[in-house]
Amino acid sequence: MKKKIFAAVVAAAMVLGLAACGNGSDSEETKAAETKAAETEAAETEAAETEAAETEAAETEAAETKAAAGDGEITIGWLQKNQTNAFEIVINRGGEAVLEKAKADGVIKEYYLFDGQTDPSVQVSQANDLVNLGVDAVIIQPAELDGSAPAVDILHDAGIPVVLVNSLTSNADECEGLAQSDDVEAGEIMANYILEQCGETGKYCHAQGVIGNTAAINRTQGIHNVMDQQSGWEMLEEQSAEWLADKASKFAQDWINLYGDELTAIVCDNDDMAVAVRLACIEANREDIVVIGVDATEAALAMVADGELGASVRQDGTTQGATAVEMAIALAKGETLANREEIIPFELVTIDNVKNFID
Amino acid sequence: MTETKTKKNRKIFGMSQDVFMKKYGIAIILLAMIVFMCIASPTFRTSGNVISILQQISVNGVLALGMVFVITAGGIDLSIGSMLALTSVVIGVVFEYTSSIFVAAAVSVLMCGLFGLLNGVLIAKFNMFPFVVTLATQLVIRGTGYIISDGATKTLTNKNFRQIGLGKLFGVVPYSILIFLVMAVIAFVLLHMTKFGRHIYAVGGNINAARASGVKVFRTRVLSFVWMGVCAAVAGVILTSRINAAQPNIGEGYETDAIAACVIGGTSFAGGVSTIPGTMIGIVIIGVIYNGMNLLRVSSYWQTITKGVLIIGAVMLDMFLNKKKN
Repeated sequence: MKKKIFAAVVAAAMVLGLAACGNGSDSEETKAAETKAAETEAAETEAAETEAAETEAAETEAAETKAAAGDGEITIGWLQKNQTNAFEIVINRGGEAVLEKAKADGVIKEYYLFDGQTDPSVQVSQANDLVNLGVDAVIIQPAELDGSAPAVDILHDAGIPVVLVNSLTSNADECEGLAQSDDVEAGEIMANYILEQCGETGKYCHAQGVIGNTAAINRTQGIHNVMDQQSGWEMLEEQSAEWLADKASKFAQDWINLYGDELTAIVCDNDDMAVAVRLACIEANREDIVVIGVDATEAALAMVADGELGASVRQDGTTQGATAVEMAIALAKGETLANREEIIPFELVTIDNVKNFID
Repeated sequence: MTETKTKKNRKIFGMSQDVFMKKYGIAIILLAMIVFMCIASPTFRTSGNVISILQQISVNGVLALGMVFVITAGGIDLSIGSMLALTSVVIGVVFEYTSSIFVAAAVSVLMCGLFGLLNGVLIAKFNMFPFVVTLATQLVIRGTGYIISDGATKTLTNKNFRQIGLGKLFGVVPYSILIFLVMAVIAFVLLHMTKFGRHIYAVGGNINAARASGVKVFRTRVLSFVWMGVCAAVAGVILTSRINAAQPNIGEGYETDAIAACVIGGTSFAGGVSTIPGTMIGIVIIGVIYNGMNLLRVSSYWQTITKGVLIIGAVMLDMFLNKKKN
């Protein structure tokens, strides 16, 4: 039984592999044949049917030019960080809409979306796959700052232009385009909101994202840029809840028990944590604790609209994804970008403007 | 422990010191931890913190109450983290559609029960290793959750659901704790007072002897996984209401805590040895350690290491106690 299944899987893999090889050589042969035929025809009809000959010749030329550029038509590859987290899905959808439209309009022939599973080693092997597929430009949302850098190297060495979306790799200077938001700005917006709500004195805790992640590092940096200037403010705790709601909820409960009335605010690196932290505050009858997070997820916006959560900082994932794809298509066409780096700003969402962001 | 051997003749409460330590040693460790924490942190003994601990252990507690059946019957289930996520997602769909907590919970129990059945049948029918089967089915279950939710987190707009995790009976006892205690009573009755429970011990202790003496081995093993699935669904309901969102990516690593709670509580990986009170103590120990580390302001990096060291310690304790038994 097991053997049979194994055999079936191996067989299926082999067939797929063969089919892929076959397709490749087929199309090349066909192209070559077509070109030859066109040339012959063009030569034969040179004298007689001038118009037709010109058309044929023009087609052949066009085909030859495209063939020189790559495999004929524009294809785009996208190494997505993952296809499962709420925020990554926003970026993915934003960009995929542009890709779909470009494909419908005939601007590009095909696009490939790869799920990196938040794993840099997966992204590196997927970069090799994209080189083999012969794509004309690639968008990468890096899983890690250093870990995903080899993926950029591979594509760069193959002469394929790369656009980094949302976050950077350590070798970002090799990339042709950057569609980014500045997470330091997000941290500063959060800190300023806390100051605005709580005044000049207070004590706060900070629930961080996964350590080593660029967004977590920069948001933390932004918070400290503002809060460390304030002589009246003290940070009680800074712990990594790893972006996770349930972990952040436990921290919040324990902090409330530990610090009691001293605690005036809890800053969270994302909204999944902020929502859970805020619920823990409500449960402990500590609705006075000011909570804020980043991402403006559906859950957070619903709470902001109900007046249960003070605010969220919105990172415009849709525009990030869309901008990155537009840059990649332009690069694939051989155009030069007006700006190598596009900065998509963060914005504060409170009860006053939350309606603009709820569908 | 040579000391123990030399003092073998000493009696405590009518038991030899060996038997006493084996039965209640873990409770003494818990007591020592509680005393230490009361001295080290004034916050620890406040009623607010005690309720927080109970609330925090309710999810892991319900999982451990399922896991203890599986391990006692000689199995293991690594798919429960995925089941938590599946439950969360199913609730997101069903509760939003029907606005009924009961229907949403019932559908999740049914789904996780079915996946438990699948685990059990694959393991008991085809005699495959539980570790491998559940390692594979966790992927299937998590994938199912992603498909149902389309990968997206969904907020529960109806606020009734969060009452399970955050609401309190008479404003004092959170419902999540009550659910946990009710599950503990059910588990106790099932494991210690029914034929099913005795069969679990028989199958885990010696599967061939059990078969020879007429125990329905297949049914017992399958049912242990079904019960695990039901527990995972109940835990998933509590977890979902705590975060008030249907998230397909939650629940990773929860199997570690559940297994650790069982092993610390005296459940043997060799099968056939466990008690519900012991498991409950294991659950509380893990809760006190996590809460205690937060109160003592231990960084979360060290908390992760502590968790690993803890499991190794518990398994060593298990091996030591079992060696003694033989």
